[in-house]
Amino acid sequence: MGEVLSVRDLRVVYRLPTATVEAVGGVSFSLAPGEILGLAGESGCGKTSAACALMRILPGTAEVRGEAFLEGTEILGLPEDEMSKVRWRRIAMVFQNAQAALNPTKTIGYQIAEPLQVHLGYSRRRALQEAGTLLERVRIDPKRLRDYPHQLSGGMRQRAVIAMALACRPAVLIADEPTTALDVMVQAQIIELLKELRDEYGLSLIYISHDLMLLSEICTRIAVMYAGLIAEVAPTGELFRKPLHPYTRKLLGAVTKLGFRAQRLETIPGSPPRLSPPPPGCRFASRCHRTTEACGREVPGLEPVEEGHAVACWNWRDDGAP
Amino acid sequence: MALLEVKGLTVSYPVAVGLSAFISRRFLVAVDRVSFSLPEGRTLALVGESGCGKSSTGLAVLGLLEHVGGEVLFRGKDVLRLRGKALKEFRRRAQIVFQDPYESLNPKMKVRAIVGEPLRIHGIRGDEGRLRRALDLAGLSPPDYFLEKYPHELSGGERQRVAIAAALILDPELLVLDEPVSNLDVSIKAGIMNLLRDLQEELKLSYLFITHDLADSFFLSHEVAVMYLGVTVEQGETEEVLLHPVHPYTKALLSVAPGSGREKVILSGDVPDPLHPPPGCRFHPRCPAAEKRCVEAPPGEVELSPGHSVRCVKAESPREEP
Amino acid sequence: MGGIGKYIVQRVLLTIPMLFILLTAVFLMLRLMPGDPVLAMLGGRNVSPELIEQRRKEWGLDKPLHVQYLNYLAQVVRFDFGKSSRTGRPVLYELRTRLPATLELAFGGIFFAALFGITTGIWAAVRADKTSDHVVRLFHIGSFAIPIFWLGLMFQMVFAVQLDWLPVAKRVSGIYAYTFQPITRFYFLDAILLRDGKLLLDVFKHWILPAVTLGIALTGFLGRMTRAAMLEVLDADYVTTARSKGLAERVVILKHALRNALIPIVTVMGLQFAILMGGAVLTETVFSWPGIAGFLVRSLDARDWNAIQGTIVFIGVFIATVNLIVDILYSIIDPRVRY
Repeated sequence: MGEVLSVRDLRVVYRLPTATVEAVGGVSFSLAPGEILGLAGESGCGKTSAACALMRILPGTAEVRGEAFLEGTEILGLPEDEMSKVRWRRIAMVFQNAQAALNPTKTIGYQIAEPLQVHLGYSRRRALQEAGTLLERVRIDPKRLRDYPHQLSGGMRQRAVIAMALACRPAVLIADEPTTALDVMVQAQIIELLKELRDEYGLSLIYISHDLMLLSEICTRIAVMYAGLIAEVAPTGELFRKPLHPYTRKLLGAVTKLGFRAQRLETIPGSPPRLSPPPPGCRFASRCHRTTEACGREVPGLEPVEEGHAVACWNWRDDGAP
Repeated sequence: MALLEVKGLTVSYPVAVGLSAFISRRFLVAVDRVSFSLPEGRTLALVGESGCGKSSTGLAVLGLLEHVGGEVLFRGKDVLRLRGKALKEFRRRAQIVFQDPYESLNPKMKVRAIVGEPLRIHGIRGDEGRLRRALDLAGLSPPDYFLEKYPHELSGGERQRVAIAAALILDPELLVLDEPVSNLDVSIKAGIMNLLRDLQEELKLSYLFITHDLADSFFLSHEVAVMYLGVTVEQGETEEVLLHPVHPYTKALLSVAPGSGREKVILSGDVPDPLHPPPGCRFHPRCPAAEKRCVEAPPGEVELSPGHSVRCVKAESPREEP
Repeated sequence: MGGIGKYIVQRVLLTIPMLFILLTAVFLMLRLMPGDPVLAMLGGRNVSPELIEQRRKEWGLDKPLHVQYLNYLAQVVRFDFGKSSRTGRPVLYELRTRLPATLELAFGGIFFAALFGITTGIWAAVRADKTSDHVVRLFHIGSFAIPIFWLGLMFQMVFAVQLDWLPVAKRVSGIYAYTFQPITRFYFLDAILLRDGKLLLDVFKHWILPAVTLGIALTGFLGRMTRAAMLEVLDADYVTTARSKGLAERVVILKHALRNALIPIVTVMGLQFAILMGGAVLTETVFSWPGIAGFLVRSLDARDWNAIQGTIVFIGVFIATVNLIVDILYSIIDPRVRY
């Protein structure tokens, strides 16, 4: 079995004083070595909750169920002291806002060296030396080890955060909107860097973004999430060529494209359903243009269509045009 | 005659720290001799990365900044020299919509008060009908439902529509749109983009559309001006500039826009510090095609075809593809 | 570093207009206040008008207000606050002998406030919304609400009268009051300089109750601030990052969160010094502490204008200095601040 990570029926429920919210409602996917899987979706679709659940860094109010096998070991049920050996060492994460992910009162070097000291037992000197090498690898002058985060540009900060995440050479890297706050040119630099690092370190990546066009540039496969569930998953080219889920289609039609001036952009009426509790049937039903009786009754499962392409819709078959 | 004619617009910001501000003043030149014209009912997009001066240009055009040089002619009158009543009249006819509908709306005011405020400021008797019409135009219907709401009770898209309604209520001729869709989810953003296009057709509005997203500018604008470090490097008809770019920076920017399908030209490093702009062509340190003469003097503006001009020495010598 | 030197010079220069405003305000307020220094000093009713006139002349109070004001400024610039009408000694001498006592008490107060406030604040933030958090917050509100003089009296009752562990008042015991010749007037320092262990213990025993009293009065505010700052920091992404790096929770809190939370707390502590001086007046009164604050109260009673002016300027300079130190501390804690 050639999977680095295999997630089965992952659920995340937030138990808040006022309500119980099912942010992730049973998500399954797997990640092959060297693969870059995109998790796409709009805000509130559960993509970040799913990622944080895998890292097990959700707040105490969150309840996580399901299974996740990382290099053969189930990690969702691991006791905390064992998980803390796996976290960052085998699975690491790059957060959305590099500015916020770096402690403003500690030097860059300190922050990159820290996991090396904790996990690999490096001496402070050796850890700092390795941190310098890592910085160089992400194309930052190792002299800047002594700099504080505010002394770096936005792009450099994000590269430093990547260096920090890769310090212990994890098998899986989760990147949560790592370029959202950055300019396109810097974004392109970061993406190029991530691709290089994947090849060099044999990384597998989960790349989370709301931007389908961006995901098309980096991912081998994309899973589109809606209201806590995967609506459709397919190899990148296939998803853009032959989207089957009505939500995917609408989303692709809503994007502005260079070189093609649409008369109008596709819009989706209404707003996502409340997840406290979620509606009984298909979660997209309330906004879908083509619903049948089944849609309101039962949640459609992910149904394989072709190799690597699966869709969660009752009516994907009788669908010539949207 | 163009509705808006900008000639040699320069914007600087004083930079000084502490007491030394009293003694000497240094200026950061954010916008350097920018010229363009915006005909009635058309859209000009100002595109570029953060810090390129596009937002400063937008604010300067509305007469909202100090330390502004050059001319901003609105229907032939220089906005920068307007005072008193004439200025107030201009403010009525030119409105702005900001990026963040979470910050630009006062959380303590109901929609009724927010949208009605411009009427009060301009001493116009605000009848209910006018209020309703503005909300209707912005796609907030039924208006009665929204009038009594507070911003926090609305979704991001609805908030941005409230901001648009407040901008529309005085029947303006010019709207400065400062990244109006950058913080919105794709499906919501699509609705706003459609709305902006409809409004332009219906009300013959002129837009100055400030954006970092080339695809968005392709959808909405008739003309594009590409800015880099305070200077317009290329401007012209949208199709012309974005499909047949000439300036190396425009080419690079287009190539890294997700989904452009072009071969990537990734520029390394960051945009230089605007306090110490490079001599000669400001783009030369990062330009893949830079040569000696680029360092010597800033390139002049060359008109390639009617309306399409570029600032690059290579375009100066005819028939040489830069 | 040149930057910080320049910054300090700038700050000191900015203090001058501030002190000027303070001087003027004090001058005017005293003249608006009911009561007359000459009458207050001469006391009884059977004072001859001639004597009163004579005193007025001596003190320059017969001159018009603006002349008095200019004379006063000219004196202050030379760091001369005149003579106290109550004690007859130069105001500067009175302040010099009393300031060490007040400083010893103030630093004790701020020390205990920081000790109780910051630790309980961190504790409450880490255990947010658990029972221990609620208990700590109740304590914070309590310390906020309890009048300082009442707390001082209670401490005296319990620890000095009932348990007889500690002395009731003053800075040293009676025997030392006559035998011991102070050098710096900072009694802790003096005891150490004299190598007198018994004296040191005696000084400590006298100091602890008023210092803790003053400290507790400030604990509530500092504790609430710490809790709020800490909660915010604990929610920051870099703390999540630190946790996911696999660091122990203790390391996350002490190394990553605390220093960032301290940034607003240090500012508050600087500002608290102003409030502390108010608290010191009450504490010094309750514990018969021979400090600057008690002196101010008695000077106010006696309409001793020179003494009041001098004391307030002293306190003003003191608070300005403390806040300057705080700003410098700030740049050490927060690398983003560079002057």
